[in-house]
Amino acid sequence: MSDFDYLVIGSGAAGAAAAWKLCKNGFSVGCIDRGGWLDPSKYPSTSPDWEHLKRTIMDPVTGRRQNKWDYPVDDSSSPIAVCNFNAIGGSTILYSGHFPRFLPTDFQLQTVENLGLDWPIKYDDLRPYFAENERNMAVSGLVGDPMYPDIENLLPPVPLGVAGERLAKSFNAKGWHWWPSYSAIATRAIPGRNACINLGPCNTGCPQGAKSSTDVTYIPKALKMGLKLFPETTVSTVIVENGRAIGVTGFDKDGKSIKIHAKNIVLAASAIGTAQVLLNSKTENAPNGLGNSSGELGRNLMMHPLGYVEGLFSEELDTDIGPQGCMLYSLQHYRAQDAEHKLGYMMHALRGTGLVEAAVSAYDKRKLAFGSELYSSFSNFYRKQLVISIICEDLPQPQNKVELDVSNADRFGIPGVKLSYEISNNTKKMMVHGMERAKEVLRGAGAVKTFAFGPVRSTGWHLMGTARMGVDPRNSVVAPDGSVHDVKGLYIVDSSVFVTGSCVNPANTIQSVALYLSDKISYMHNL
Amino acid sequence: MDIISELLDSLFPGDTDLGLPLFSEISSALTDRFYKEARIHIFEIEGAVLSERKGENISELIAYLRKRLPIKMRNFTTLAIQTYFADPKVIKILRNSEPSLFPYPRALPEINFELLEPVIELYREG
Repeated sequence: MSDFDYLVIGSGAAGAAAAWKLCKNGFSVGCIDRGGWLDPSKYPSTSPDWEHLKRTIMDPVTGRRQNKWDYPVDDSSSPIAVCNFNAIGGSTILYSGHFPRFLPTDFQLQTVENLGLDWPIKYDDLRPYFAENERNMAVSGLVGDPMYPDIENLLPPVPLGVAGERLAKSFNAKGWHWWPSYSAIATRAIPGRNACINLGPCNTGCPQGAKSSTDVTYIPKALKMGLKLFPETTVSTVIVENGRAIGVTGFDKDGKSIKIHAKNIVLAASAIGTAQVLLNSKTENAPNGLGNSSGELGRNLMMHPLGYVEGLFSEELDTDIGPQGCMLYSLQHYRAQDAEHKLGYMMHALRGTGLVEAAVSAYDKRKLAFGSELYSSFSNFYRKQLVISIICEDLPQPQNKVELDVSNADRFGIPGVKLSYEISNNTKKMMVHGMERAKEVLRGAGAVKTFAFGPVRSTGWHLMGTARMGVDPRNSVVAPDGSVHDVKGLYIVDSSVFVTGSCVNPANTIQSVALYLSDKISYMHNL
Repeated sequence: MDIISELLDSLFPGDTDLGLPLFSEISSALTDRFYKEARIHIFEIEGAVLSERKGENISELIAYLRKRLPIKMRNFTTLAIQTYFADPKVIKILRNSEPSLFPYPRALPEINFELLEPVIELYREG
């Protein structure tokens, strides 16, 4: 007996979007998440001690945080640590909300640049879904960007502030592209949502409700359409009978074994979580994990290796005001004809930090004096730091992968995950190029000193590629409609299906792909 | 006052003009947490001080400890920084605002859209 037409695993960016779309298309939908509801009135920025909470219960690095809803992550063999979050809303609770789209070329790297592989879908297939997602996620920004000429409807952009204006002028002096950020942040009050009040740190949860995490966007709308949510419920395996997925096994919050049945299972637990569930769902016919006849499951993991360049200014800027991760961006170096590297990067401006991070930053640079000089040396840093991050595209490589870690199980005995990741030489060259260009921009904006470092370890947010999409079952896990090649009634709609990773924040594309695939799934269902 | 407290007050001496507290004067909830988290480092620092050094002034002592136990002192000092700068009174004075961020709105001016004209022009030409 099936409880639902569709059971979605994961309530983050992709899962929530898929659940909403499937409900809207008239199906009975359940959605499971191993995390539970959080109380925004208790988010860190409601307390003076928010920076401690940011380092502990809201630490973005999953393997270090290990809250009760987390699974073990061993990323010791990766220069980049996995960052995600388990709760209703998933990683959107902690993300900064920077929300550009992938670009058309990103879907056709093989055809256009003889690199990587082509996706079996194109930007044009996703165009209406980008627009739909940007409406649903209350995206703010500015129409007219030469890099995105087809974007038409946005809330007003997040303000630049004095700091952003300095950067903008520096970009202009160099004749480089820049544009106000696309931000999943309501800059004006809209029905059911409050406007941003420029607190600063978006990446510890937004108590104002202005940042568009899925717990305040897709999930409430889906609940009104009959979605049945299962918070604090952990999936262990997908149940397969006669070659068809018919449900999942798992545990409720008290550790009691459960089974939930559905006509179709839709995985959206992130490129790490989705791979974990499938690898753990071994059967006699699938000894290497469900959907893994190609051997590609868990492989081709892509992240965005990040370089950071911090500019230190002699005068106070307003860097402690405004969304920390949304200000302006540049795709001037999306492709660089004269560079040693192929592909390219995004420059993403980040505002300043709180007092603790500023003081620790000064100390780490041996610039924080103690005793009578403590306050003067501190004031040389606080409100005087501005960062440009270099988000690099890293092509998929089969040795970059997620595997089960049977020696490190969660509280239910479900194996954790172990990552293997190497940054390609191309990406290393790209990062050096980007950090040098970022220094130029910051100096042009008036920075008296710059500090560059990369790859930054605690930045493994953008996880993609571990169940890639393709026409040929011999080298892909899912078909162009999101259906797993090997198993009927099983679909994947999250970033696991990504074929290439672009150099921009993937959240908008993740959700737009989820919406697109959910319509495809619905269409096939109705045939 | 014990040597660790003296050390911390020397590192974070407060400022009477600004109204900033000494380390020993900040929130006891924060200092309790600090002593719990830093106890591994404190044990060795105290041992080094009590068994090996006598009579230096505090600055000489800090310089000695940084040389003798560089990693312990670094970790100890980082924890102390994270504690001191999280104190509500310190935050209020240094940030010149309420200690918590929410629910206090802050404003930034609207974007000067003229700044975008060079970008638009560049691509129009291209």
